[in-house]
Amino acid sequence: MKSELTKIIIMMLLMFVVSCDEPDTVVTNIVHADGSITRKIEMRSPDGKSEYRFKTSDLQVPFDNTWSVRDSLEISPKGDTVWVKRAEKLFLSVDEINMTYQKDSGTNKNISRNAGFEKRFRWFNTVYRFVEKIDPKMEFGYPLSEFLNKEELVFFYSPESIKEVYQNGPDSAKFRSFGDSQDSKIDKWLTKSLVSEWIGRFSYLVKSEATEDLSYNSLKIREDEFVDALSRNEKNFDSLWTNGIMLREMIGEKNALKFKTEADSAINMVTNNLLLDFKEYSVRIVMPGKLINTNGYKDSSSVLLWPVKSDFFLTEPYEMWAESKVTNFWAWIVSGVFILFVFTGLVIRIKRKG
Amino acid sequence: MRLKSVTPTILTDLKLIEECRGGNLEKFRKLVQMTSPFAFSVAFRMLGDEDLAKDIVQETMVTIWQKLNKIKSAEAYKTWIYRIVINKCYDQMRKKKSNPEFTADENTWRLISDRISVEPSAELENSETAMIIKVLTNKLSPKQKAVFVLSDLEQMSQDEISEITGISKSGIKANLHYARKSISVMVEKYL
Amino acid sequence: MGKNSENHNRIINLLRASRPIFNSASDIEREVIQKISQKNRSETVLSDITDFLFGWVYIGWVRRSLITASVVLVAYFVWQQGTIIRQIKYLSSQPVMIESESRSFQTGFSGNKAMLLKLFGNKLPTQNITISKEQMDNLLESVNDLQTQYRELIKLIEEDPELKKYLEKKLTEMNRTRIKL
Repeated sequence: MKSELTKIIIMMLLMFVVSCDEPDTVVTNIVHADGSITRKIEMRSPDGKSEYRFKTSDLQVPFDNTWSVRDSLEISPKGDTVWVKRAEKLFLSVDEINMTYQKDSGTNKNISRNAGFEKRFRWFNTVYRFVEKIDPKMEFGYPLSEFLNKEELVFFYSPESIKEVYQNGPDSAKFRSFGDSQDSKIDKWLTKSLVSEWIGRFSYLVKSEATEDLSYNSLKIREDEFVDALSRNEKNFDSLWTNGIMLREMIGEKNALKFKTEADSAINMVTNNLLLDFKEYSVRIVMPGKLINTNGYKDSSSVLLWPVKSDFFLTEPYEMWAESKVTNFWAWIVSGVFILFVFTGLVIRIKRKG
Repeated sequence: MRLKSVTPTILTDLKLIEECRGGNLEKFRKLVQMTSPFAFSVAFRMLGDEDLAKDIVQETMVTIWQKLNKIKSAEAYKTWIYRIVINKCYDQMRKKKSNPEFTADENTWRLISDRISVEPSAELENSETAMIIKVLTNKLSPKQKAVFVLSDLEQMSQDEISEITGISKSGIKANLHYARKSISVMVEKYL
Repeated sequence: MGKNSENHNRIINLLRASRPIFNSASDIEREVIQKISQKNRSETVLSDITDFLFGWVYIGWVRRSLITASVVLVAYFVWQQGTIIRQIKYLSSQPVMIESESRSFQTGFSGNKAMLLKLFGNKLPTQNITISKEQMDNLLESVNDLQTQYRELIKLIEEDPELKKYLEKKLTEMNRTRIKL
């Protein structure tokens, strides 16, 4: 048990070390009223690096030599040297951004991202909507909203500084308790989603050859059983699975023997979707006109910001959207003149009648 | 040749007024024919000037044309005509503020005096009427003059005069008493 | 006095009987009609313009349609502005992020990653990582510290049976399957 624990701790520390080696990236989308977007990427080396080279594999958000790129050295508040790479490009429409995502060869190339822009004429105002969406990795996963309530969800998706605001605010006791209760709920969500994903993948792979007891619906009915088995055997899951013991317990010996390959393929697919090596970054959006709605977080200059973490789009699409409005003053004038015209006509009629 | 003065009749035909309201200028011409003589009578007796009286009559008729919608009865029409005429006479009289004591030359007065004594029933010419009224009402205020003209010369009732001038009945009595007294003094002095 | 009164009455009667001679009735008629026509003409031009612009007022369905359109326009404006104001108000009530802390969201690792690593650690695609000797030394030092602290903690718990019982009970209640003592 002790060696197991040690192993886990070392792996987590290693992950920490690895994650500390990737640049801190912020992508800013400056949306213009005509639908063009100026995209700026700023990558900062981790603090304390005496020397740093930005690699293609580091790029959380893709850019290439068609962008205008600038490198510089800055001193952080702690006095450390920070290497900064800035890239900027004007995209005439979101379609160009989406093409860039499709050709992505960077570290996050396995996720499906796209951007959308909408301009709606609403007479008195024109409403602009910009969205960056990341498609979910799991097809059969559960939405997090089935495990966390509304407040817990808001807390989950919030950046750390906002979490601190909540935890120091008027409902601080409630939000401080979220940390612990959320962890167990998130574990449940993950476990159920993993099992559900495996069921979905496996049943699809064996569809043509398997009997009714291995159909998607049949396996789905037994999902809680599988979740329980996984939870009980969490410690030794890896070895139990490799030896086929786990699989026999789940689908019977005969099926386990026959469909071991498919079961392993399914579990590999599930693992690939976990994105444990996903490189996090943040997205900022600047909208034309006055901001009226968003699911993001604003800073003191009303620039919007979203964190992008793998948890956020594991089972559901992650949308970062903002809406703004620009007043159509000419429409106000035309409407005013029209109403005045009608009113004047009515007054004249009343006067003549009287 | 001296034209006989026409005694105006009180307009009782509301139908004519209603026809005029529709913009019928021909019907309105008829209304002018019926109304202008007694409007002229009041205006002339108030101002003593034929031209001024004609102007007053014109303005009155134009005003009537513009506000025909407000007339609901023949009686109302009569009161209204008089009211407009009297008010326009007041305006005119205010313009000519200074009222020097009228003096006619001696020959003219002798002729008038003889005329009255010899032919007491003969009708006066406009100029004579104007002169006499001017002399007799020289000391009167516009209100007193209006009350005198409407009561003693136009022979209207106190109710009618009250409606036209807006003065109360007791006020009319008082004004009339004073007017008559003043005129008596003038009669004694000049005639 | 009596003669005076007689004279007074005679004068008044004379004046009363002598109604002013109105010998220009036709002139007045003509001039009144002329004045009215002139006024009508000038009013007609204005009236024509007014009728041209506002003639629709006398056509029932046009009038009703335009009134309805005006009412709908005003109502739409009020609703739209109300919605926007409500949205903006809601946004301004949201907590504001501190820019200096907005740069990095990387919190190192989350608890659930530990669970995933336990389950699928061996199945992760192998990758090469480069760390410096200094980082390696720090890492090993952290591991040693953790191991020491862990040993001390376990010793404390084992020396106090009541504490052990209490902890096991709490862990069972919270269903913390990630780490079992």
